[in-house]
Amino acid sequence: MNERDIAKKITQHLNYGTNQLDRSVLEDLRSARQRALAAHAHPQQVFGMAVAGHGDVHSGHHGHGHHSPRFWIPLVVLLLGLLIAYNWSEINGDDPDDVDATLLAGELPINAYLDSDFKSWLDQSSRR
Amino acid sequence: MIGICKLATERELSDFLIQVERRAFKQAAYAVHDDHAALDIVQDAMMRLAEKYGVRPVDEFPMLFQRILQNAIRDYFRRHKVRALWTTLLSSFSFNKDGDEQDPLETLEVESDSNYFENPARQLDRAQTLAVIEDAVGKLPARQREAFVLRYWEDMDVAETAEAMGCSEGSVKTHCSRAVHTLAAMLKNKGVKL
Repeated sequence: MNERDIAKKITQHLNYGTNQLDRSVLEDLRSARQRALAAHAHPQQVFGMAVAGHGDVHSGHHGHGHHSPRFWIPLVVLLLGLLIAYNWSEINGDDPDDVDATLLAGELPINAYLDSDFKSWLDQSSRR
Repeated sequence: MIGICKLATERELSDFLIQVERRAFKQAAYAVHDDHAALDIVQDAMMRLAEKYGVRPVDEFPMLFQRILQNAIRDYFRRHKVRALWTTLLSSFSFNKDGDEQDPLETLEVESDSNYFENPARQLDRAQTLAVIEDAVGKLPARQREAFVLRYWEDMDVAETAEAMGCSEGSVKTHCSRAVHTLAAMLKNKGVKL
C-alpha cells in the first residue's frame, strides 16, 4: 500500500469515530452551532445575552460569559479610573472652606486688603 | 477584471458548520486530549467564523474555518503554558504549615465522565481498531497531525494545506509523509492491520 492508500484507510476509521460521539457532545456541538448562527444574524443581541449570563453553551474556563476577563477587566479599570479622578479632585481642588479658614486665621498679607491702584486713579480723575 | 462571487447565506453557513463540527471536535480532541477544552475550542472557532467571516463566499469557509481552528488550538496551548508557569511560580511560595504530607489520592479530582470508569459494556462496544488509531493520531507531533488531518481527512490539496498551516508546500509533503509512516509503524506495532 502506498502513502495515500494508508491515509485513506486511516481516515475511514476516523470517519467512523465521528459517528460514535456521545450524545452530550453532539448536543454541545449543536448548541455551539446555534449560538454561532445567532451571532451571525444578531451580533449585538448575542453580546447582550453573553453579558447577562444566558449565552454560554458550554461552561468552559475561557467562555464568553460574565466570568470572562473581556467583561470584568474593563469594568475594574473604569472603576479604578473613577476612584483616582475623585481623589485627585479632592486633593487639588480649590475648596472654599479652606479659603475662609485662611482669612479667619489672619494669615493673608496686609497688601491683600489694599487696592494700591485706587489712589492713583483718584489722583488722575481729580486732575481732569 | 473583477470577479463576482456569491456571498454565503445563513442557511449555507449552518450547513457548513453541521458538515464540519464533528471532525473539528475530533481534531481539537486529538490535539489537546481533553473533550471539554476541545468543545470550547470548536465553539470559539464557530463563533469567530460566524462573526467575522460569516458573509464570505461559501467556498472560502473550509480554509477560513481550518485556519481559525488551528489558531484556536495554538491559543489553547499558549494559555495552558502561561497558566502552568503561574501555577509553578505560586506553588513554589506555598508551604504546608503543619508539615503533614498530603496523600495525592485524597486530593485527586475525578471527572464525572472520565474514561477510567467507563461502563465495561460500552468499552467493549468500542471498536478496538478505532481506539488504537485515534491513540496513534493523538500521539503524532502537532505539525504532522495537522498536516495529515488537513490533507487527508479534510481532503485539502497540498497548496490549501500549506496556506492553512502557514508553511511551504514542501513542508506539507514532508509532514504528511512522516505522519503516514509514523502511523503505519505505530499501528503495525499494535498488531492493527489496515
